[in-house]
Amino acid sequence: MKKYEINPYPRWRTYELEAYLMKKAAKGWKLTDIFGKILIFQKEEPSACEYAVRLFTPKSIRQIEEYQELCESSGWKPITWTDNLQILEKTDPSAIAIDTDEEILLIELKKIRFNSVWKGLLATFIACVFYMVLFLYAGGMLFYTLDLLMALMGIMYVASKIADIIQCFVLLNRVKKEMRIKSVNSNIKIVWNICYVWYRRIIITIGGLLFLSFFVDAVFMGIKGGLFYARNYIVIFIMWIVMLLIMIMIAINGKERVYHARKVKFPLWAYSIYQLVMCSMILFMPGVTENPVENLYTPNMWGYNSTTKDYDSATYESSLIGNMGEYMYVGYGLMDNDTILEQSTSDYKLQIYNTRINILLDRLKHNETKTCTFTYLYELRGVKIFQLDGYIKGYEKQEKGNGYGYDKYYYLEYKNGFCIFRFDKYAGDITDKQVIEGLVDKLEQNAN
Amino acid sequence: MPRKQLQTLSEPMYYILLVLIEEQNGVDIMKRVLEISNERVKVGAGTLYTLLGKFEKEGIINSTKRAGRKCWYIITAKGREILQTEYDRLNAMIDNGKILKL
Repeated sequence: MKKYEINPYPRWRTYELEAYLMKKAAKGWKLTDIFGKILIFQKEEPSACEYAVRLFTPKSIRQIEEYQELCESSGWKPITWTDNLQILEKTDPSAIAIDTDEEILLIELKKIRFNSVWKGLLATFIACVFYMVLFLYAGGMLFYTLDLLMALMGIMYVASKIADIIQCFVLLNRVKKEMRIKSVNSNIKIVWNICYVWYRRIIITIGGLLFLSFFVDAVFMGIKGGLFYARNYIVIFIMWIVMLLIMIMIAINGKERVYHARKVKFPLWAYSIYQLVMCSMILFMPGVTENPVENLYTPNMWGYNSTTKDYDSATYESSLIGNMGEYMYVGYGLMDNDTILEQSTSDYKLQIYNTRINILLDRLKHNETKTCTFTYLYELRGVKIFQLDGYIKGYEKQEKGNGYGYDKYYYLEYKNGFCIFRFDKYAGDITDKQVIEGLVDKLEQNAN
Repeated sequence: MPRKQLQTLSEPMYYILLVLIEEQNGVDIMKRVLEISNERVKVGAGTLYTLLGKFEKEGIINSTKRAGRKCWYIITAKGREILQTEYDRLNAMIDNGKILKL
């Protein structure tokens, strides 16, 4: 008779698992195998089995073989392993413990823990620096290569993980052979181990990509519509909530140290600071489109949909004015009959721009004029042209272009309504005035 | 405060290096340590595996040959130097202890 149970302890809590296995053996359930988090017990006569649970980090086949030899010679039989957790059973009652030097053990565990953490931190740091540099200094076309670069980074990241998995597959196969571990079904076990590793890798990869994609939007380039934004925000929001819940759980469970293994303690305060820093980095990292924090708390960020022309009570339907030559400029405003004058260029970009303009309009609607300055420029064929500055908190006017920092907003007031538009100076030598003329042409055509 | 690694040797470290003055494999090291310490010092397989890897990485020992799953090691000049330093340190401690006239 077999019994399947979920391993109730995190990987690091090896002492607790040892004690648990011994308790089960005393009750007549002897461990025969472990598949990922699933412990498999076989019903036998109650016995006083002694187990050793170790973090198993094979570096080379030679070391594995030698280690196997050492274990068996010293009275410990490796029963099973999963991922990097190894379980051994004492076969010789007089055998000495597997780990006799606590100091060495401590150093090794710290090293394993450190290795598992620093790569993630380094990757996050590099991503942040990369972003900051591009955000601050990259201008023009370079900025628009960012999406491509970030997509490339994502692909490279996934590729590296695949390489890890292939390596892991090869190693596990070798380990399986060399250690001659008898399992219930060796093929199934290998497949399970691979799947388990895959599972963990994929979760990490998808998580990383989701965060990255939120900021760079590269992955979802071309996907249009409200769902596009909704999905990203919802994902961020859920992840944020999950992080908060984790922190609350840690706070409630204060006496229990998170991530502790034997004597390796991770103080609560350190873990909390780590989580806070990570949350802050993720949530406050400057994004290509918007600062997610600002968007999360900005009302009506989901866009407007209305047919009314009344400014005070209206919500507005976005419309793309056009794509003129090398300039991409996107307009937002109230047109006659709410018609969309022209729909070209990228709907994806339109979504980005409209989100910003929605924020601006929302502020105008609530008379938050402190954040918006209208500067009258001139009148062209009955259309009054204003320049808008200080449109979004945190996005102060920058002299140095970065694609989003240098953009200008113009407010065009004409007899049928108004129009706000912006464009980016990333290519071509056309002047702002020429663009405005083109826009006025469009408005006149539409009016006619 | 943990001791700086390899600055001073722990008992298992000291005995393993001592044993490796002669070429030994892992299993023999465990037995020999037990023997020369009159069964006072025990080195478990996990500890030995970790220490051998560390010593080899630091150039304190060298692997000399392999046969089946066994691997033989011997102490290097650097290892001997570390061992000698530790031996002198222990002697000095014993000398210092004499003032207590135990």
